[in-house]
Amino acid sequence: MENRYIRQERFQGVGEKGQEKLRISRVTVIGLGALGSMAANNLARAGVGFIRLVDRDVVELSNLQRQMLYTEADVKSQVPKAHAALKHLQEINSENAYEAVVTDANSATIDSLISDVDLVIDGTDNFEVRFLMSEACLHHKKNWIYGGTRGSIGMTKNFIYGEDQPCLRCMMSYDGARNMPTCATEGILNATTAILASLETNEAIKILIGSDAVRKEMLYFDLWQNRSRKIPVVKNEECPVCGYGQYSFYGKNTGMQAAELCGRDSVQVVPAEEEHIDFMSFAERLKPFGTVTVNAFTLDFDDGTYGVKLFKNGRAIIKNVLDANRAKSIYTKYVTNQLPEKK
Amino acid sequence: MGVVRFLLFNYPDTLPELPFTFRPGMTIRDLAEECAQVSGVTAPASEMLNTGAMVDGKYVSTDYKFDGSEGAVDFMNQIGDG
Repeated sequence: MENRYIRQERFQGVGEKGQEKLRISRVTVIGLGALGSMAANNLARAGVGFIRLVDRDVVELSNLQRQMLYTEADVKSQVPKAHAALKHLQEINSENAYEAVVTDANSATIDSLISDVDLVIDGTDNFEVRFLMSEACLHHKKNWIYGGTRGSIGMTKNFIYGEDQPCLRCMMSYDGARNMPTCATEGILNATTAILASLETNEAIKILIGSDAVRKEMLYFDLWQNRSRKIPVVKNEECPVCGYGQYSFYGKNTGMQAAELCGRDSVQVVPAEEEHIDFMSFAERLKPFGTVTVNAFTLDFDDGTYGVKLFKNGRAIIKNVLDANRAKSIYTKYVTNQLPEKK
Repeated sequence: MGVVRFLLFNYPDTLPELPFTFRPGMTIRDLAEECAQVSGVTAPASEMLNTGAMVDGKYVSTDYKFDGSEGAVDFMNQIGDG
């Protein structure tokens, strides 16, 4: 019988035993942008048996320059990235199992996303989710891989669970990591994201098969300047998170959440409690206020000034707005206040 | 003798590494201000302090006081897009 993994098995670091370990491995990829979609692609082709695909957004035209898994047809159909990725990955390797989850990774959803997998891969675009991921992985004793990129620069670090191992908070603070320039303002090269995602994938494979070649340091590279460097990171005994167990993100319920989306004049709003919205009846309620279109995954509303892309679980992307509080007000007006009362 | 390393993406022309003797009692803030005066370091102290620093692989605040045993300080922007 033809073996699609024969070249990978011949690599002595993997071998047949390593391939079998990949087959029974379970991975969650959180965020399916440039890094996450490429990592999912690599993992699927490498034969990782189960891949959970988590993303809150839909495919947009400006994604196609670097998000290798998607096509113009995905943009046209406004399909959520998780479902677009699932479809393409099934076409690439139908031997694996996939699960598409269209949701925001937050303190309410994170347990269900990571508790039953061997490894979590970071494809996110903000440090709020990364700190949450770091704390949740610590709580669930999971390994995870951080990756961040901008312009021609990439940075990645493996976080292996263990009492003597550092966590994300050992190497940075949330305050220090906020308000950094983004790809939307500073640009991004597709070679940067492809290489960084491949580095993440390569480490993922080593971790999953139990290789002793797993990188311990943080890796930094600048493709444009032709520089790379490995930076040691060690456990900080005084770390509030892994040293004293004081979580700042995991297990914290802070009501309706609003977060600006990477340079898109949009704000994502996540309700305090998940909803189950019937789009057809909800569309009727919104029609007096503007135009409404519905597909299988989203409801799009436009009042002439603001746009609302609503998902069935109540999460929404408010368009043409920069201020989180303004976005919450728009959400309250067009979503919260139009929802039928809960019985 | 220790080393200060710079990974500050707005200042790619800054020296990648600077040999430095960390004196007991000096703070990260003092260090950033001294480094900013060195020829070849184009980044201002404020940029170095913007995201804090790692001392021998551990994140520290700008008030961290050196005891003289330290080997390396990394001034490093965090990169968050994906």
